[in-house]
Amino acid sequence: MTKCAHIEEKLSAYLEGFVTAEEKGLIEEHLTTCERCSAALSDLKKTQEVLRNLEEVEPPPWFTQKVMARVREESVSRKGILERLFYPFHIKIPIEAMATCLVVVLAFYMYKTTGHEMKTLNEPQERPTVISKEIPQKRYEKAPSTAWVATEKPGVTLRADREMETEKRSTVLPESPAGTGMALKDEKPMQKTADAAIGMLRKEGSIAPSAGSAANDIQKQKTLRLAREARGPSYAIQPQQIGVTVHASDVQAAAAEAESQLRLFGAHNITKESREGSEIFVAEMPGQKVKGFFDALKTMGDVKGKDIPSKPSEEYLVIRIEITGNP
Amino acid sequence: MSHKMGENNLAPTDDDAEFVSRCQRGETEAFKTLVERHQKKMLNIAYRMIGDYDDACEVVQESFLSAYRAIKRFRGEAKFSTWLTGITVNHAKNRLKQIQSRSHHEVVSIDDPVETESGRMAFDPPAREAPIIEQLEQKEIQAKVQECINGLDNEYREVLVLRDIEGFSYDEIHDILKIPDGTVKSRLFRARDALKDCLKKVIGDL
Repeated sequence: MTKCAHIEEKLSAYLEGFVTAEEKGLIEEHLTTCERCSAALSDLKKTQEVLRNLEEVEPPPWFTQKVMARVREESVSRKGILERLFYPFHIKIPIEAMATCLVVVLAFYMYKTTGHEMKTLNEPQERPTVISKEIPQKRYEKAPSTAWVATEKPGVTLRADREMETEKRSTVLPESPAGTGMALKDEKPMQKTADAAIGMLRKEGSIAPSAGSAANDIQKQKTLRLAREARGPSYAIQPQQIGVTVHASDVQAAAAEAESQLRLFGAHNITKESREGSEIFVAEMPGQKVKGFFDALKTMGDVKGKDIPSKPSEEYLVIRIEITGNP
Repeated sequence: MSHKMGENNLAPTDDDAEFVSRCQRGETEAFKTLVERHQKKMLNIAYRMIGDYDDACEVVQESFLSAYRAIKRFRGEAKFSTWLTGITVNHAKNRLKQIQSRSHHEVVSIDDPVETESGRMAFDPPAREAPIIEQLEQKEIQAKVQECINGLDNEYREVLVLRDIEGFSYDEIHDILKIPDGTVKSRLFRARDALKDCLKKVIGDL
């Protein structure tokens, strides 16, 4: 019996081939003589067969959905606390995104408007002295009485303001000839009115530098017109301004080239301003050189301008060159 | 009926790896494929270990959820199916312990009469004329086999289920249970002997 019990213990290992050759020989020898152990081996084989043939159970039809519902729940609850604070409900996301975009756009628009306004308003304070030093006075004597065309643009309006101030200085200079037919003494009361008007404009600019409204611009233009009228017809003598736009592929390179060309063609009082990817030059140039200069500009890109003079003249002209990218 | 012994019924590793890495990247829906692919095998393992279909369903659900939670830590040292099986077996063992402690269930000795839902099973001697295995309804045999499996100690039960029912290799069983190969074999051979004896008692002549 002891031997049978020992053999029976080894039968499973024997079936799987996990016995040594010696054990195998002993087991096989015993099996030929022992009916009980042979039956045990047979039962073991049948047991394994029964186990192998057990029917598989099928998962219930809802199983995957149920597991996935819990998995999704889990993945949502795992999201960070910050995320949950900012987006407590999914429905809010588009509203929040739109509101954020609106705020950003408004802020950018306001910055653009007021920033530009402040920049242009601050400029006149330092400019007049430069102009009075550099501009030869005689050009004002000869300047035709072309009316200054003030546009709606605040920059242009304020430039008009600057020019008027220059005029004011030139008229009070002792050597300035009264070629325009009006005596200096007669101007004085009107001069005062004009000065008051300019002062008013300045004051307005300093008080509300951020006000970039159209209403404000209109007010300024009114004041300017008042100032001009007060000064009388002699102050309508203004240098002619010519505006051109150059569409160049490389704005910076074209700007550098334009600047050197300006100097080459004897331009005075060159100012440069960068604005929204454009470079704007304002300079004064003898009339007879303007055409040559414009021809030079054409080599840089597509030149568009309304006021290119057909006849060369000796007068100094104010030219405004805007260099911008290709449209 | 299916023949599973010695076969590898697992889905190809590469396919699983793709879905596993998608889950690891946060693609929750990729887990659905893994559930669909492995739910049946996991359910059968849990069912054979626990012996109750509803409990097995719950255990497998929990196992999948645990696997999902831990999937970022899965580094692919073993196959995903092996890793998932380990999780399922652990959950099934825990559930078994709960059931056993709740019902103060006594582990059935192989020599004890078998308890069934309809009462104590008759311990009649097998009739010699015709093998009972052919006469009994297949379903009844299946139930009796499961009862015998339920009577095994937990550590015998798991190796028997994994090797003889689900057909895992010894290496895979070693990876799943984290026990030495020798221990797996000795437990398995004892489990087979015990089951054989139980089946002889409840069914009669095999």
